[in-house]
Amino acid sequence: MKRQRNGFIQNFILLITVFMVIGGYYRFISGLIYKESTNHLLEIYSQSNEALHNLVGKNWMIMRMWLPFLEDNREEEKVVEFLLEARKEMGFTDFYFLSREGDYLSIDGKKGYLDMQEGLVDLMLHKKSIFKNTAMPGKSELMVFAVPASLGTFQGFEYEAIAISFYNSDLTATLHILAFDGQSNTYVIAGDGRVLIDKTGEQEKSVYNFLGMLEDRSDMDSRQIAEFRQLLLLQKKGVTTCSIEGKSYYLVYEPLNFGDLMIIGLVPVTVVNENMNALQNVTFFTVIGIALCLSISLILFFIRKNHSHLKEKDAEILYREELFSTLSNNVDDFFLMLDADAKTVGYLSPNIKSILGISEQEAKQNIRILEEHFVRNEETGSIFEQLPQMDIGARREWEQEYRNSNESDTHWFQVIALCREIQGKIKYIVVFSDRSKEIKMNQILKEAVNAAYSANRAKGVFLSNMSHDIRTPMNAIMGYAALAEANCSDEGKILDYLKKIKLSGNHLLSIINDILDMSRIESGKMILEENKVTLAELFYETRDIVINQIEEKQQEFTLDVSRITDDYVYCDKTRVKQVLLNLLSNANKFTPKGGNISLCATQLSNASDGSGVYEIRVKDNGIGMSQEFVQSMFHAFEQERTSADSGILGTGLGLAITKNIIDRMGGKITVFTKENAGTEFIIEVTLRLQTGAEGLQQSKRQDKALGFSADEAWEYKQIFENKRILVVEDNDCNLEIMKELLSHYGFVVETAEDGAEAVELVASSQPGYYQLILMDIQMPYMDGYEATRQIRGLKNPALAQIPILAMTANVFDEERGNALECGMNDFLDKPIEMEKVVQTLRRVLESEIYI
Amino acid sequence: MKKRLLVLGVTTVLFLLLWGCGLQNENKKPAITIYLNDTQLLEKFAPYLMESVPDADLKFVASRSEIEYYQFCQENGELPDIMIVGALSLWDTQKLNPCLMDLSNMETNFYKSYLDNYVDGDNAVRWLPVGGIAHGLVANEELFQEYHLDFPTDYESFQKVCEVFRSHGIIPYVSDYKYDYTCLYTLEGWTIPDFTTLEGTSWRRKFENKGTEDLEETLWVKAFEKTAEFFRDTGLGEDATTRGYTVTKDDFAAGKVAMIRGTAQDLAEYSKYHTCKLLPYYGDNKGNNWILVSPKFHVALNAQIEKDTEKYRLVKKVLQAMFTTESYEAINTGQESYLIPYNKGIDTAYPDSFSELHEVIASNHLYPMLSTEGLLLAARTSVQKLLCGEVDARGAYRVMVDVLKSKPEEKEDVVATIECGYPVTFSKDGGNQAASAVANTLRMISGTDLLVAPSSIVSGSLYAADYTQEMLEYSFQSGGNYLFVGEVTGAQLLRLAKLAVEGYGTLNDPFSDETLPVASGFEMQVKKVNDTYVLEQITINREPIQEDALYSITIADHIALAELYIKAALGEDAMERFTTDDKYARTHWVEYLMAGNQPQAPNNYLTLEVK
Repeated sequence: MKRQRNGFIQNFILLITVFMVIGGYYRFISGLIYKESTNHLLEIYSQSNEALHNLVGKNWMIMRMWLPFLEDNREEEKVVEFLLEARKEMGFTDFYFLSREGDYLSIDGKKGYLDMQEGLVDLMLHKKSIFKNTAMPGKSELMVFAVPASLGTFQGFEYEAIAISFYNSDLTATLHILAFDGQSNTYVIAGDGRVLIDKTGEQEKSVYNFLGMLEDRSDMDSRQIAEFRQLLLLQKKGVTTCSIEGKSYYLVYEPLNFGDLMIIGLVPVTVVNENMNALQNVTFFTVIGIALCLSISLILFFIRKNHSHLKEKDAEILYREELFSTLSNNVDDFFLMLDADAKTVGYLSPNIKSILGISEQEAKQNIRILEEHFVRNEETGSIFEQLPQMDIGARREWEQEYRNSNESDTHWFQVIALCREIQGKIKYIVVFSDRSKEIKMNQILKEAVNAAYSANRAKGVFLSNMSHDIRTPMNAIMGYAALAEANCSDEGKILDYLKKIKLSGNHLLSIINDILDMSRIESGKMILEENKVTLAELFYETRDIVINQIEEKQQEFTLDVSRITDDYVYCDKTRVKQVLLNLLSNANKFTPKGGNISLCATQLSNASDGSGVYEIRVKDNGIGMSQEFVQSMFHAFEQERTSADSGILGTGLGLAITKNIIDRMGGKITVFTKENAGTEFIIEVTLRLQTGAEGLQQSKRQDKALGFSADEAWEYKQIFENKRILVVEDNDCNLEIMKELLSHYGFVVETAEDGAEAVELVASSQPGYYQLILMDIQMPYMDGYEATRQIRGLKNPALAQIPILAMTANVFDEERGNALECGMNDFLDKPIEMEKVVQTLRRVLESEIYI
Repeated sequence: MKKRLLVLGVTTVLFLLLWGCGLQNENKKPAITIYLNDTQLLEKFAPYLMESVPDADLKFVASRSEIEYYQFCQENGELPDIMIVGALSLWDTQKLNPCLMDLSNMETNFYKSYLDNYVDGDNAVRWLPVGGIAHGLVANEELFQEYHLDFPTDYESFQKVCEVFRSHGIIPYVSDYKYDYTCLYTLEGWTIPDFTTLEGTSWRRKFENKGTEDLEETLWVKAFEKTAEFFRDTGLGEDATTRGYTVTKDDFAAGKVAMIRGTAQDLAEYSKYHTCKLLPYYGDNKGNNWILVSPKFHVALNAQIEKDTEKYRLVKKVLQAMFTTESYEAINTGQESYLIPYNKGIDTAYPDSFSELHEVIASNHLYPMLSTEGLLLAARTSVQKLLCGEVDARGAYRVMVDVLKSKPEEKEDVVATIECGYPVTFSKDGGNQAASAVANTLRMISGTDLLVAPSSIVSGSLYAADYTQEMLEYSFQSGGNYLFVGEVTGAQLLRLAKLAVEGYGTLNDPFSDETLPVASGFEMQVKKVNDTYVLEQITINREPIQEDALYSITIADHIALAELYIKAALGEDAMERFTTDDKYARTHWVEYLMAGNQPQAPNNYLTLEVK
């Protein structure tokens, strides 16, 4: 505001200065012109005056020159002739012999009276030459020039003076005072202002007294007229200006040097200054024009500069507006600008509609509508309660919840309010930032953190448990191994110790298997392999596995598969069995001695697409589970506290694995349990049914495989007898175990400690020398993959095709893929289960399919 | 709603009022009052001015020619805008000068040398002359022809003519030497060649500029000598001193007199009786004949006009209209009249009656008449004594000097006091109040039921003021008005009133509201249609007149006009039924007031409806 005022004052001063400069210049030029004009006028009127003076003087002189001629010449005809000639030359209207009484005799013999009034006295009494206007009836105004003469007689007429007369109008023409294209008025006036001569013609009007005319019609006041009258009386010469009936005139006055007569000129200023004014105007307007051009150029420059600046600003504003508009429409924030009354909306971003479900127009009309959407809480009031409390420059920030009228949910907003003074007016700027997603995300993250924390805690518990659970059998193994070493002579003890070592080893193995399974599950690497399976067999095999444990606890076990109509299905037998074993194992664990455990399978229905829905129930009347535990029982590493308290061994992974396998199979598992009443797990899975032929073949093969028994060990020895096998293992202990075990089954075992040695041995052997190679994967110098590739790369095909079985503790499918890729024929999982090893070796050695 | 209606109503009324006022103003022209010195000017001159300046409302009053009267008006706060007076001397007008405008600054077509005679001591020109009237001798050409006489060419031939006429029993010359002006003009006219000498010119200049109040002895003795010679040659004697205008005119009309003193203006009247010629004052030779010239009238403006720009503009327009050929023609009331122009551009065409003046005018032997009240009075006394033979020329000169010196400066005695004044202004609802007061008074004096007169009977407003006898006389029209008393029926009255309103071809014909006639004892309802006045009805005491009822009536008018009027209205022989005494109406008026009476109150005698 102040800046604007200062700007205005500066411009005003500049304008005044420009006008003053122009005015000064104009005055300067006008002064010069006035001076020039007055000089010019004085010069012109001096010439006129001189002309008149000369004319009068000349007329008088000529008449005086005539006097001797008139007095001496008695021949009146010659006189008349002479005077007629003179009239022709001089242009006077008449010549008069004047009597003392003022009577005249003209050259054409006419007599009359020449009314010269007081002039007659001067002429006749004072013998002065006179110059006087007079009138004669029916004629124009006359000017008479008369000179006294000696008493004379002409045609009997006694005269004492002679005179000639001119028409007033002719005289003015003769005097050349019709200057300035006749637009000037020239007068010969007496000292009292009476006009003797003016340029008016016969029909024109004229004033009698020039001073009276000035008094009546000019802008001169009585004092100025008195001064002017004084100038006339003093016979002064000069120029002044006056306005007559609104028109400006130069008033020129100059004594005629005949008595008190003055010659007066009234010339319109415009006429006098016509050329000067034109020059002045040209000069003035040229200067003004140049100044204007410069000013315009300057203004245009500034305008252009300002225009460019404005354009840039406009573009900037446009960009900002676009940016702001885009932002407003694409962010979850909306902006509000309110006047000091917190009612009038200065700006409101249109996305309020999408954010709060209020139309922009509706909100602008009544911004208090926000209060209707405001979810009031105790901490903060609405913005309309907050804003009036803010001082200029203040900033406040708080969170508020608002309801979107188009949604059921509420939104949380971070509200930032600023109080600013904009152009002298208080404005509130309020930004509503929708933080609902962040808050939800935070909630999720919080929950995730809690979950991670829980998982971590569970892992801690697990590790603690694992540590305990692994160390326990390990301790037993180590302890019994030490005892066996110390009692190697006592075969009975050793066998007992070995049996216990084996038990502990099995337990340890199951723990590790569970962990591995869980690991596979969590890493998504557990792949179900669908094989042709006879469900009855599966259930019975499972029963066989657990029946010993059940019987050990003197528990009643019931298996019911009678309600299965389609026995031949596709499924991952191992995993299904694993599930059943887990559940039955748990039932066994958590059911006291003498309790009841049942496994019941039912085919619920057949699906039309060739699959069947089966329900498997594992039920016990054991200790049951708390409802709290039921909520997390399928989480990894979760174990009912009571399980640890009860001294029951477990990793806490069993149910998690079970749940995952069932999920993978597309089934579901539910649990009904009651503490101290028992638990029932119900599994419902859909299995693809086998066609009739497939089911029959499958049945036979299984029957043959199932023929392997402890009694068949001897048979294996017969098969494996003298078969040379190369075991490649860097671990001496494992190498020793393998060597002993394989030797036990009749194999001739040779060893190599790394891949390179193995390759060397094979390469240097005769074909057929080795029938099979057991190859560890991770070895120093050359791992099993490389060694296999080099063996397969041997030139001798017989050597290159030696069956190679991988031995690896890494049982992931990736490893398996790598092994097959580099040319290995099959796998043996570590730790070695001899039963599986023997079956695999037999299969490899007997089968041609691996070669 | 009510408020709105009220506001709307008030606004409408105000608008209509303002509109009405606007209309009224629109039609209202600035009024300019013009006092004429002569009722004759009402005939053509006043209508001419009205026609020339239609944008002004010119109100004419046929008033007086005396400066004293205007001074009296001015003292009573009522100086007219334009004053027209006859003969005057600058000396006599000085008391009025402060109230008059200086016209020297006005652009006119005057010959400047003529205006030199009107320059006051302060270089102002306050009076402008209009139309020079030639003064000389009016000759009955018929008598000259009858006696086979040529018109004189110089004084000697004039003497011979006089002798011839006398020998035939014809009075060669006579005039109304009862009057001062005839005395002065005779004295002046026959001495013009002496007054135009160097000495005469010098004396006149001094006299007019008040450089001297003395009469230049040589000059004036010579003037009286010439006058005495003239009297002798024409046979004039004591009886001439009582001779008035009418007798002189009658003798001239009767062919008893060959020549009388007269003017170009008088030719109109005298030419009714004879073929007349205007002759100059003869000098000792043919080239020395002169005529006296006095303006037909002088015009002056009220200085107050300058304060009203629009009025001033219009007044100047009126003034300029007076200096035109058309104006000169309007001033001339008869074919034989001729005015010598003071202005350039006036057409000149001499009438036959001027045939003896051609050379005189061409030789510029036109002597501006010198006339002051003092000179007039002194001239009458001295000339009458000369006529009576009481004094010789030098004695007459001394008498004149004595009279001039003895002229009392103090005011005359108050002879009457009018207690209630009445304005001369005209009202459509009543007429002219001053005229009505005079008419009612005259009717009361004459004792008739009714009176009718031209409005010019009164020369101005009647003021509530002290009146000298002179002012009482000036308050009445100067013409020879008489009271003609007779009896008329109601029908005749209607006819009289109708002619008075609608005109009968004389200067009394109304041409403006102000010139409508004045009535006493009856009322006139007049309608104005297209500037023509029509009598609608007359009533007596607001009652219709009885056509066959008889009413005594007074007609107050100039004898000539009254006769024309009565004859036109009532028949050729009707004049016989009217009687008059020898006393002027003015005299009745003056005597009545001097007797201590008050003028009768005016009444609303006229209503004018303008269509």
